[in-house]
Formats: sequence, structure tokens, C-alpha cells
Amino acid sequence: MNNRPLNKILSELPDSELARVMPLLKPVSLAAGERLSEGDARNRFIYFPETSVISVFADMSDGKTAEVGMIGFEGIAEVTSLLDSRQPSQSLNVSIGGKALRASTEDFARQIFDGDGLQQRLLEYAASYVAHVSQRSACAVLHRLKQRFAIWLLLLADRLKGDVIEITQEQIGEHLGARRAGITVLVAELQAVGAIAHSRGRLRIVDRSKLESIACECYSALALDQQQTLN
Amino acid sequence: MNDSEKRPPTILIVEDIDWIRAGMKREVERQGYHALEARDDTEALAVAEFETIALILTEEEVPTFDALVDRCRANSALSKAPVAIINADAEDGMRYGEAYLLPDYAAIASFLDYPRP
Repeated sequence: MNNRPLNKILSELPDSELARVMPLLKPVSLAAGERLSEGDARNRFIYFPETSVISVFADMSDGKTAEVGMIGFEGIAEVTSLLDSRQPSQSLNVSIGGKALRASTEDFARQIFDGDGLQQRLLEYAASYVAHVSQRSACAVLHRLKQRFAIWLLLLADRLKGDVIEITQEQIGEHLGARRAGITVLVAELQAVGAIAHSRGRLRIVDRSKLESIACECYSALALDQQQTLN
Repeated sequence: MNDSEKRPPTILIVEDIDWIRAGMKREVERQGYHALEARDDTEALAVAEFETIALILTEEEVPTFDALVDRCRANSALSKAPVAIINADAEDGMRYGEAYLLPDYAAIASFLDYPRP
């Protein structure tokens, strides 16, 4: 099939299965900061990011939030709503604006068991997504904010396939569940060692290997190439 | 040589979280200023009894932020010291209540009558 989607799960489907699901998918343009679902509402759509990045947030009753998962071209936002649509979803927020393919969760769920390729890809992805969320949870408890910040930048850059990240320090704080003032200190620190450069609303990874050396061991488990090896 | 040439201005950092306060101190000192630390408004006023403070650097999420600003404005030793917050996302000239938002630590210089270190 010509013009295969940029989303990895869809692009790796056999032609016949891709042709079957494509009519269910609508190209959408997602804006940074857009909220795709509320934690207490049933998720009506699933998203296959192409150039966008979607974050999964856990929301606390006092209004505090923290990112527990990140989904880019490699995945689906988010896969658990597909496996059990009765399950209330966590909040989905667009971290980096861009393109995605969107489908009704209900319509897409009906297709899962009609083809071996799709079923297999979804199960593999669900396993790697659970591993991603588990590792991020352990990392949030055990590791310092500086290490988690470094990992988070690397995870975003991996999904953007680039080194420039359009994001404010306030947004970074929301993703990491940290005060903006703390992020300001960390940005200055990483800038001073030459790992990143920052100007208003734009952050650039200058020395990726330096950032990897600051990140904790979790990055080796969370990196996309590692997940692909597992699959 | 007058007093201001001998010693860099003193910036009072008010922040309740230790590692953030330490990071702010490091950045202030990197700019060449003398930095003093306080965890809250009460400590800030105590420090000001013994030192001349040129600028108070804090952040809006400090739990005692409102009390800090009110007490500094009412205190004879601190009433002339501007209160500032570093906020890389802020537009020029933006304020958070009484506090000035500065894009980075280098912008502290614009508030001080002191040659840039």
C-alpha cells in the first residue's frame, strides 16, 4: 500500500489488514497543550501519533498532575482503553503538536480479533507500554528530579526524531510534577555543563551523550530502540 | 573606592525547598553577587536586620509568598528592595503581583545600581 502511515503500529501491518482499518482512521492535527480526554470520562477516541507526542497524566484531587506515560509514533494513546473501554482513562494531553490518526475506540476495538497482524502488534505494544509505565513509576519514586528531567528530554527527542523541543519551563514542571522554579534551576545546571541550550519556549539538546550520562539507568529500559529489541 | 565598588550587592534568596534554594544561590553567585538564604518570610526579615539587601529573589510557589511580599513592603530595611522571580517563560515587563518576573539570572543586573560583575 502506498503512503503508509508514519505510525509504527499501523505501518507494520500487512497490506490487507492496513486496508481494513484505514477507513476507520481520520487524519487530525493536534495542538500542543490540547487535552484529549478527561480522567473521569470514557475515552471515545484512540490516537495513533505520527509526528505528535501525547502524554498520559495521573491527576490528583488537589489539582497536581504528573506524567506517567509518553506516546509518540511508536504507539497508541492509549492502549488500555482499547482493551477495556469500561476502564476510565487517565488524562491525555498533547505535549508536542503534530499529526495523528484518530479512530473511534469502539469501532477500532471491533477490528482487533479479525486479523492476526493487528492483534499481535497491539499485544506487543500493550506489553511494552505497561513496561514503560512501570519503569517510569519506579523512576519517579527512586530517582532524582535531575535524572528524570534528563530522561524525559531524551524520551521526547526520541519521539520527535530531533533535538529541538518546543516547550515552556512551566509545561516541563507539569509533566514532571515539579515546581517551575526547580525546573529553572535544572535548566541552568544542564545548560552550564553544555548538555542543553534554552531560550524562551524552546529547548535544544546540544550534547546527547552528556544528557544520557546524567539520566539514570531507566533510560536504557525506556529507550525506543530497547523496546523494539524486546519486541 | 566607595562601598559599592568593594563588595557586590547582596541578593536574598527566599525558598523553602533546600535543593532549589541551593541551585538559586549557585546561579546568583555565578552572576558575581553575594547571596544570602532564607526559608520563609520570618527568616528573610531576620537576615535583613544585619545585611543590606539589594534584591529579594523568590518564587511564586513558596508557601509564604504573599506574607513575604507584604512583610517586605512593610519592613523599613527591605521596603526598597525589589522582589523578583526568575521565569524563563515570562514576557518582558510581566509581573506576578508585586514581584518582577525576570527571564534569567543575568536580568538581575537591570535592577541594581552596580556595574555588571
